[in-house]
Amino acid sequence: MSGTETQAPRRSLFQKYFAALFIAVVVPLLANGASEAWFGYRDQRKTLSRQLHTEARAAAGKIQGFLDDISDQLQWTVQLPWRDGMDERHRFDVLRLLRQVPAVVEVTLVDGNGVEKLHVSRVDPDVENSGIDRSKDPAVTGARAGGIWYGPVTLYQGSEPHMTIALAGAREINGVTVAEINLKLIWDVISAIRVGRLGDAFVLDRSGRLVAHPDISLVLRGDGDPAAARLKQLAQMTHAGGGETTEGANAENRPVIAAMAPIPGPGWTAFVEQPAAEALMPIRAALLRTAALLLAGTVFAAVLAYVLARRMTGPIARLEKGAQEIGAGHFDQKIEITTGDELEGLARRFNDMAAELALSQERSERIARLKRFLSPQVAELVEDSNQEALLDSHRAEVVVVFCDLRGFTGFSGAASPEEVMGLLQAYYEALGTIITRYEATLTCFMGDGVMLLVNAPVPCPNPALHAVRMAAEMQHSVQSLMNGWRERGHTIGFGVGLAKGPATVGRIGYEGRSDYTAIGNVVNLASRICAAAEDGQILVDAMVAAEVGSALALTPLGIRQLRGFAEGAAVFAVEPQHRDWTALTAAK
Amino acid sequence: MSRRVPVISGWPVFAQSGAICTYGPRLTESYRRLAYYVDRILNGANTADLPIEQPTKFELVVNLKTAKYLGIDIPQAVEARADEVIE
Repeated sequence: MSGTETQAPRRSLFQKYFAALFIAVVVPLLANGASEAWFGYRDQRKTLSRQLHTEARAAAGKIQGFLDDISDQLQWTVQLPWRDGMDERHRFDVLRLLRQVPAVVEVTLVDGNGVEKLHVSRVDPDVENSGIDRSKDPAVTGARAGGIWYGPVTLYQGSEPHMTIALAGAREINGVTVAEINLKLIWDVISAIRVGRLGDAFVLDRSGRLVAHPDISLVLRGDGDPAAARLKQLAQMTHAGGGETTEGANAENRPVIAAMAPIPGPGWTAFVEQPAAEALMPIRAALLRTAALLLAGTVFAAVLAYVLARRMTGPIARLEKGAQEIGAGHFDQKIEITTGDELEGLARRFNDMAAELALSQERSERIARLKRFLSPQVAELVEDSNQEALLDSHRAEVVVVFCDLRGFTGFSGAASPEEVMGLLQAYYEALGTIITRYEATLTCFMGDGVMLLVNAPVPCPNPALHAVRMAAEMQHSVQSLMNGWRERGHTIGFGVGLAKGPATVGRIGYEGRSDYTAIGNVVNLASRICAAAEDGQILVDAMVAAEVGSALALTPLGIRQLRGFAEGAAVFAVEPQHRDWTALTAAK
Repeated sequence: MSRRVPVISGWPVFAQSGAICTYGPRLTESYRRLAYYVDRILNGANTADLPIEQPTKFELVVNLKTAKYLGIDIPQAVEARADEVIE
């Protein structure tokens, strides 16, 4: 498994988790934020509209109040009837009016017959009993018809906005008062109106002419002024909006939000305007707040998703790495996951599995080591029963079996190395099968010779007979092999020697490279007996012969002089009829 | 005064210093508007755009002391209209 193959799926798992978690948090958050912003915006706009309309009605009320104050004062001048000798009283009323109401520029009193009786002005000389017939004057007829009459706004001398208010008395004989009002004085009222911090109010008459504005020069400049025209346009837009608040430009061409309210008396309209920036500030602040919260929420969601995805994929990556390590045979690697969930359980299983694998591998290694000298069955028996103590060195009664080839040195000198190796291969294969079957312990190879132990480390019943039978089978097997070689002209033989006696047996060697061996006189004896054996012979010592007894036919060969054995040793030969070795082993 | 000639003027200060009566625009009001115009012009307004403003407040000052000294009767109608009466 290459690195890139393991990396790619992990990254995509992380991405999947990250995307899923992120979307799970962000989508509801965004939906909620957006709907809240939208409804909040609508509510705020409604509140703003309501607020501006209230302001507009208040402004209209104040303007109406200003005009009502004037007409209230005019009322005094039509209280008394026009009878002879009352002229002076009327004159006083007018003078008081001029004192009380600075906005009144001039007053004309008309008697019950519509004849002008008195004209008093602030700037012109008074005129008494001019006798002019004013009965057809629209101010007089208007006042008589409706009690009070508001004239159109006119620009006196091209700049001063003036308006005529006419008031009729309760009785016709009380006459009519026609007063010229200087509308400049509304400035005191209009400039006192504030909408919010920067908003203000202005008034247009029926024809859309500017009547009152905090910047009085706009009023005095009259028609044709671009600023006044802009206000007129704003007013038209507000009218068209059907009483809703309107966004437009004010006299200074700045964006504003405007609302209007009618002034019923003179048929004017009061407008309030507030700079859009100021009016919409709470809305903008709310939107900004929502946006900031959304942003913070998104960042939080990203961090959360990242952390959670990491938490999820991190242990999985560690598991994968751990599995890789175990696969590579590093069983001591522990996967450390402490998430306290199923992943930790999985990691624990992995660790347990690694431990089991380690144990099993150790066991198979031990068995492999044992198999170097024990037959597989015995090796597993020793391993399974955990009886390695059997391998510790101790003294035991053993049968030592030596066997080797005769004439091998000569053969190996004459034959090619391939032939030698082929012969040895076939020879050891034949021996190995038999050794394994008889569960003998192999101590060592010495060129063409082999040393075996029977009854150690695992004891067996009647070891001597068992060993002799094994030797017979080996003779049979090797002899049939050698028939082929002899035909090819090689003079090769095979001899076996056995001896029984006490020896010290045990494992010798160092960690990982140990052999099992026996040390004692019996080993030397078996070796010498083997050396004495001729081709096709199986020689045994007296101990073996005694133990085999009558089970097999043995031929005593008398005392043989053997090297290292001063007194010599009694040697017996196992010699079956016609060298038919199979007959010997059949009884096994 | 020494020639016993009654003086009438447009500016209230004359009445305060012995004119029998004055009638004219209230100057304090005009000065206030003047300040407004100065402010606009200094702030860069185009003077051609600034409208002419006419006085809206007028003042009638009557000096009863002078009238008494000169032996002139001030009619009640005039006294009633006076914004200021000096006695």
